[in-house]
Amino acid sequence: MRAQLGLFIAPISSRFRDLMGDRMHGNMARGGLAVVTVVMMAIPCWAQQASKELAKKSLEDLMNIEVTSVSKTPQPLARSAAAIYVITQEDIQRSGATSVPELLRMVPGLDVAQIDSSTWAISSRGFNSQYANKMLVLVDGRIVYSPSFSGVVWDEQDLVLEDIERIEVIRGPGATLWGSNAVNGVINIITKKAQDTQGGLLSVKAGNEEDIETTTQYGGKAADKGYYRIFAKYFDREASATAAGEDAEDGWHMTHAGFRSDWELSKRDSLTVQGDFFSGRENHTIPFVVSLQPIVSGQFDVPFEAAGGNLLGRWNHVFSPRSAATLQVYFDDSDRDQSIVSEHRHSTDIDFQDHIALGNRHDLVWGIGYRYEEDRLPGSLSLSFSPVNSSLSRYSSFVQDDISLVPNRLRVMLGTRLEHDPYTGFNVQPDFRVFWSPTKNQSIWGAVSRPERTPSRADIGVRFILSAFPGPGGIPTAVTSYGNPGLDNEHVVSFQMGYRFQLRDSLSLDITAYHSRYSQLSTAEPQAPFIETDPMPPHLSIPVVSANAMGGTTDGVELESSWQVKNWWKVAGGYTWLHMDIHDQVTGNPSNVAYVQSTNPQHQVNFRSYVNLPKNLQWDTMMYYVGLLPGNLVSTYAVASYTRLDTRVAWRFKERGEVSFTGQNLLQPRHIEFASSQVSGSSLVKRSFYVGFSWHF
Amino acid sequence: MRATLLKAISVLVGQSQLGERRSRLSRNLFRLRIAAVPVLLTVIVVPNVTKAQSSGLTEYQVKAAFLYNFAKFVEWPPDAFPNNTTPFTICVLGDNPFGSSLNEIVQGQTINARGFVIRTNIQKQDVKACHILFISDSEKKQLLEDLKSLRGTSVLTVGETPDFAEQGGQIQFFWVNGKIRFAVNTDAAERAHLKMSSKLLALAKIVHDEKQ
Repeated sequence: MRAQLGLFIAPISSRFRDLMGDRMHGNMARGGLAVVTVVMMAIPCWAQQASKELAKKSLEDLMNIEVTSVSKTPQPLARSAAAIYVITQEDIQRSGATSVPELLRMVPGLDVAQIDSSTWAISSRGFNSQYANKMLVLVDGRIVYSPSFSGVVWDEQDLVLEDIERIEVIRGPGATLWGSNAVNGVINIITKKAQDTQGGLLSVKAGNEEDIETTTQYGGKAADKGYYRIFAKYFDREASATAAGEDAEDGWHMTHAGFRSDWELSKRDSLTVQGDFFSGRENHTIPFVVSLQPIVSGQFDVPFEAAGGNLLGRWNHVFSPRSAATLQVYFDDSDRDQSIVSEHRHSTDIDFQDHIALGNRHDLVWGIGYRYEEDRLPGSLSLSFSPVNSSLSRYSSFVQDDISLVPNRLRVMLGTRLEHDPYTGFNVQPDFRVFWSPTKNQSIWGAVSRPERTPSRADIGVRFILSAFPGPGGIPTAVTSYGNPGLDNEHVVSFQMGYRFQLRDSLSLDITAYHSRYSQLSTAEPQAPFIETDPMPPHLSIPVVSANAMGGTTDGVELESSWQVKNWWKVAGGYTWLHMDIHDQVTGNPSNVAYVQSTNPQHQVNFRSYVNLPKNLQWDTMMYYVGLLPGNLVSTYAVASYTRLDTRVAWRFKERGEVSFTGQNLLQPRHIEFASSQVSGSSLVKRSFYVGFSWHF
Repeated sequence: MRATLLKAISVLVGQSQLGERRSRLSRNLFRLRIAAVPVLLTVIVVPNVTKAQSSGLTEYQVKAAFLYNFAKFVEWPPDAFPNNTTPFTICVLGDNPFGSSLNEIVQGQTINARGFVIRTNIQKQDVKACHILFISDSEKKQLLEDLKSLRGTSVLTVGETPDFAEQGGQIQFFWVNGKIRFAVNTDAAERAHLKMSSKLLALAKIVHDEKQ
């Protein structure tokens, strides 16, 4: 498995927990426990029964129980030397969100903007776009960052939301532990172990935007040592709206099925095998050039067919109380068929990690990884890749030492990653962190990191006609964007500081400030026009070619707080401030800078309230304010600031069922969240309602 | 439940027939759906699908069970119990992280005819009356003094503060891979005239007093 967030987390009750417990897979089970706890409180007899069972267990049995720590979530967070936010299963239920991107809205410091019904732009600390390329996203240790276009194809990241244990979001660099491209953040989605989803689940949602979503799941015990779950899910989402309020014809549907099994092979060995497969169909409105002779271009509805699957195995071995190792292997296939460009990709990834506690002070973790990517990207006149087929290998290794200088008080973390990228060769990505806890409920941390963003297939060899018009003498003329095989990594040096304050379990405050210095950011630079004969017909090409010509700084502050006002009422809120100062280092071409700076809000505010009412009723409210996106008048348009309000009422019955009613985007009939003319046209998010029903059996 | 699963199968198969007409991709999924059917069938057909023991156990439920178990595997000197039925007294010094778990675990349990008494919020002057004393992490500032004041008594001290055992506590919990383990300081056990069974020691990580 990829480095778990535990690496940034100090011990709760002992140093060992730090890396062993959290890192390998222990923390998978922790966050969602809040929900288990809630359930257990609701049903005290369960708890007593559990205690009766526990009292019968032998010491050996007890030592093999994977423990999830209640309401400890604030504590590990309070001990991490990074800007971390964790979405728990409770947050997932109460948000009313029906997809992973929508869930991420609640994370302070993340900018989530819906582009059309199935496309989102998600980034932290600036540089947002549909292909936001500075966030690394993993699902159960599997990287879902697209090597073709950079960024994340969010519509393919469907999960049964009930099965998510937690989503850990780290803002700022995470490249040393997690790998290249974790420049401005890491999103780590962790699903529950199979033993935590035993029994059946039936869930149905239906509404005006969420046409229908059904999930069927069953979890059972296999032989003596293993647990499994299997699920099948189908959803159909309605189209978003055009500016005129008409149907944007970008509806989509997807079928998704999968399984997870967890095995205790011996006292020292555990194995997880999981896999899932999806197939869906989407529509996007895309501006593109269909033909150069005659010139035909415009916005077209393009159907996409997306399908894929993955199979992952993870073996964990405990050598001794002070040493454990994990070996993870996965295969990931994805196919995206559409008329402009198709993508067929097969990835194989092998990852080994070892953790050793050395002496009283050192917690050492190191790992090696190998990734093999095979792809085929057949294109069209408008968009093509060179070469069409590729197979690339990537090698990586990392080491980090977490050194306890004063137990529980002062730690330093030193680490570095050495990676060999198929395009840019060796790169070194070091990281240094300090954590200091002056009193029990306060902590201060600082970090200096130097992550890198490596080029994607598109950066290296894309050929994309941006626009076409009749040129001098009637010769067809195309403004074409070209990749650059010589493109280098984007470099960043980031400085961060954070302060946390926790007052008992009821009030917490978390502030992070950062200053990042970017260089060699990728740009598109105009070059001298030439006559191009491939593809036919011969035409005048005005090229813009990828280069590493931009640099600059970003500064920001992220603030979050949560307060358990009463035992039946919890509120949480966040504020994000971002200032970008990017400039072109080489050519002074203003359009690149204008593009990068035009798509990010300077201010964001969010507020959530969870109310537990009598008679098993819940009432939850979420409010998000997103400031103006300035736009640059050329490739992006200004998006007015907006406030989004969602609310949800749910009733739980017989401890097994839930009926909920959710209203989203209540303040306006529709609003736009992102407006970029790049690749996907933008449409408007509508006011929506849905009714949900779920039953555990 | 079986009816629901059967319905799920019919939905899977039903949809796949539609899917068949759609595309290669859907056909792949059709195969997948068909693959899912036997799995669902297995679930229906295989009787005794054991529902797993709820794994939502909390850290302190499990730690409470450990404390209860320690009573089984530690032998106190005879003078620790006035008579044959004197109950084991398990105390918590400092903040009580167990909630009601300790009470729930020991409720109705006996070991060699001894029942259990749980005392939380115990005062320092009273700790000598305890057989097992859990010293909460909230006590870590005074830990050395607490442990020192217990010298010469036969109280089994259990803690979770880092280096608890090295500093003279007898049993310390620690974490490995999301699981709870314990270390035993055999020097401290010897000083307290507590006899730890070989089984307990075999499962423990053995540590010794930190050299002063």
